Formats: sequence, C-alpha cells, structure tokens
Amino acid sequence: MAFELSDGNIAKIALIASVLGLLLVVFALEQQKPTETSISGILQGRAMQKAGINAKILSAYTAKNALMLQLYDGNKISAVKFNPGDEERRIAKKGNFVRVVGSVRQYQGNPEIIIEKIALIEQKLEAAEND
Amino acid sequence: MIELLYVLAGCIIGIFTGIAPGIHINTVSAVLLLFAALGDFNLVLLIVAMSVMHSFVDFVTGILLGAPDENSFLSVLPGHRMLLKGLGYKAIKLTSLGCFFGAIFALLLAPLFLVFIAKFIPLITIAIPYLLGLVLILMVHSEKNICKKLWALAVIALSGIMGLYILRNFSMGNALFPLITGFFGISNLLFSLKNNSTIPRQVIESSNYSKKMVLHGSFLSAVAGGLVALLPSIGPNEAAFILRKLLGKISTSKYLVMLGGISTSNMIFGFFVLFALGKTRTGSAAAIAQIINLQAEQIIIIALVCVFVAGIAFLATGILAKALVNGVQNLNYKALNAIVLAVLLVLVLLLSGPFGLFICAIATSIGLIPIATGTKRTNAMAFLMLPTMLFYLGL
Repeated sequence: MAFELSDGNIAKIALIASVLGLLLVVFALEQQKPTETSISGILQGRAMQKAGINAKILSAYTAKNALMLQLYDGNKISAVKFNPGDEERRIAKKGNFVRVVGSVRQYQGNPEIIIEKIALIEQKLEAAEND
Repeated sequence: MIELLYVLAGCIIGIFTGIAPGIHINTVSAVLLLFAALGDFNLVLLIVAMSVMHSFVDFVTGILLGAPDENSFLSVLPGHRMLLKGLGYKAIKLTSLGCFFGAIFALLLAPLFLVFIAKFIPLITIAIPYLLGLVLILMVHSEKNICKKLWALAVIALSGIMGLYILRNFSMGNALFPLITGFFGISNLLFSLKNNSTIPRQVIESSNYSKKMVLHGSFLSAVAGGLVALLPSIGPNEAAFILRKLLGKISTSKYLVMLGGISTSNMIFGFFVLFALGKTRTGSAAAIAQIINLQAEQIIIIALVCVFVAGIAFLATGILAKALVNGVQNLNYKALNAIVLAVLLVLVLLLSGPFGLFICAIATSIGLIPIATGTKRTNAMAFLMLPTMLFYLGL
C-alpha cells in the first residue's frame, strides 16, 4: 500500500518529528557543560551559550521577579537571575565573590548572563572590617 | 528639514523590510543601534517611520507569498483564500485600510490610553499570567471538536516547551527569528508547495468598501491594539482572535481590516507604553529605549510622524500591491514559493547559525500540525505566552 501524503499523515509525521526534535533539544541543553571563562572572554564572544565565571558583585538589586547584578573580574558584565530563591538573594550581596554559571545572551546590544546557578566563593568580610 | 529626511529614509527602509521575506524591522533596528548616538532623536523618528510603514507593507508579502511574520500570519489564511479567488489586491487594500484608520483611531485614543495606563497598570500587571492563561484556554475551547481540541493542546504544549527551553537559553535575537520563521513561515510555504498552489488571474480594480465596516472594524482594532500593547507576548494575531471570539461571525473583509488596524495601532501604542511606563512591548520600542528617554514633546512629534507616515504608507501600499500582484500572477508561483523558502532558510542559517536551523526545523514540524489538522495556527504563540506566564507567576 503506497504511503499517501495526506493531511492526516502529515500531522502524525509532524507530531513525531516535533516530539523527537524537542527531546533532542532538551537533552542537548541539559548536557551542555559551561565554558570556563572570564568576563573578558564573554565580551570577546569566546564563550557563547553557557559560561562559568568567578567574579565580584559590584552591585545587586531586585526588580520585580529578577535579581540584577553587575559582576566584575577586571571587566564588567550584567547578569540577571529570574525568580531568585531566598538563598540566591542572600548570596547576591555587593562585595561578595561568587561563581556564576549561566547562558550568555545579547540584551539591548550588550552581552548579559542569564544566571542558572550562583554560588558563594567568598563573602565580603563586613563584620571583620567593622571590628 | 533633516528630520523629514530621516522620516523618509525610514519609510523607504520600511518598504524594503515589508517586502523582503525574513527581513524584520527588529533586525534592521539592531543594526541601526550599532551606529546610534545616545539621544539621537532623528534616528528615533527613522525607526518610528520604518515601523509604521512596515506594518502596512508586511501584509503584501504575507498575502501574496504566504511568508508572514509574527504580526501578520493570521492574515495569510483569509488573505490567501481571497488570493486564490483572484482577489489578492482587494485583500491587501482591506488590510491597508485597517492599518490607516487603525493608526488614526490609535492616535485619537492615545490620551485616554495614557489615563487608563496610569489608573490600571498595577492591576493589569497582576492579571497578566491569568489573562494569558485564559487566552490559551479560549484558543483550545474554540476548536470545533474534541479531536481538534487535542491537536490544539499538543501544539500549545510543544511550542510552549520549545519556547521555555530555547528563549531561556538563547538570546531573543538568535532564537525568535528561527522560531517564528519555522512556526508561521516555512510550514506555510511547505504546504503551499505540497498543494501545488497556483494563483488565478487577479482582479485589480477599485472597489467600494463599506465605510461603516471599515470604520467600525478599525475602531475596534485600535482598542484591541491598545489593550494588547499592555500585555507581554500577546500580539496582533491573538488580539484579532479575541476580537473574533467577542464579535462572533464576521466577514472576511472586516477581519482583514481588523488585522491591519490591530497591527498598526499596536505598533503605535507600543511607543506610548514606552513613554508612559518605560516598558518595551515591540522591537521598535526596545530600540528607541536604548537611544532616548522619551519626553512629552517628543511623543507628540512621534504621534505626528505616525499620522504622516500612515498617509504615505496607505498610498505606497496601494501602488506596491498593484505592481506585485501583477508580477506574482505572471510568475511560476510554485517556483516563487520555493525561492522564498530557500531565502528564509539561508537567512536563518546566517542569523542564527546551524543550531538556529535545527530549532527552525522543529518549529516547522510543530507549525505543520495546525495546518494539517485544520486547527488555529495562533496556538503556536504559546512559545511566547507560556514562558511569560511562568515568569509573571514567579516560576
């Protein structure tokens, strides 16, 4: 029986292709390891999709559902964490030295990190300085 | 005088972006920004003129070539139906009438719109995820039978998940174009090729359009365009769908007028949203936001430019439509569709790379489902709506 390219068959093929393709995309993105780099590397376009950097927080503020950071390691870059949790808000304080992993995207002409993970490396020693 | 030159340059660029499939004003705006000086109001006027002109001319290629963008794809179906009846020129005229009067009504309603924003925006912001959810539910519910409802759900789920993963991991600039091209452009072109579409002889003549129909449709579309300008990820097509649901059965002619009206008024209201709230809902507004902080006297000048360009655009679209309808019917339509398809694929590869092509292929598969099953193509807009809903819900 010859295979007919009817609308019904097209719909079924399209559905199977969509599901398989989507699973591939999800799998590929989940497996993607971050490129260890610096802010300078990101600004030069070396790290593309996912990057991991260590940097100091120059400024941090919360806007609506997003945590907006300015990161610095000799160069500056903006970073944003959407819908941050309490732990992330606690870590994201000015002066803290953090490890940030996230995807790099262009926002309004400038590279920006969409933070997936943020971890504290070194906390600003405010208490010690005030002693 | 120099401002006028910038406006005219914007008109010319807007004609080019409207005609060339795959070249979007957002892409051009991004290029212009590379040369923008902060505070350059002339460049802002260029972007405004380009955007308004594009909103008129874009329907020409959408209807004639079946290559729409995210604002005009819903016009492709009724417009294409008219094209296949030899009434492609009339379809384009109807959308441009809607665009013109939609622009006029948008500017007349703008003061009221600003008052509305001031009073209700906190409430609207809270309601956004629920409104988006309601639109998605309505879209599924409006399908004719249970089988189509299930297909609609499948498209919403697939495109929603696609949007969630892709838009959160890639820049909008890289991801949006392959997604939209796949969902609404290439899928449509593939079906046209499969069906061996040929277009009959086109009637190019002046028609009498019902004044009441045009004005009523344009007014409603301006109101819808304004409301939609406040909601993220809902575009002119969803607004047209909601209006159709509210109004019940309407003629194809009125529907095309409304689509045109929503497209242009939504663009114009986007500038007012930027002025009033500092929020960007369109690519053009986002580009302007990077150049300047709009002041009251500047938004008035922008409004005047919109009126001026709307007039030019209406005339230009009529002339272009005549020329292109004549051109298209003398060409091998199948070959033309194949060329447009090839151009879009090359553009996706150039602008978004090999992974963009892969994303486009998946989006095309998803986009083929509603065409093959006779369900609404607008269901695929879940790729924007679902991530937006989750964002506003804090998830």
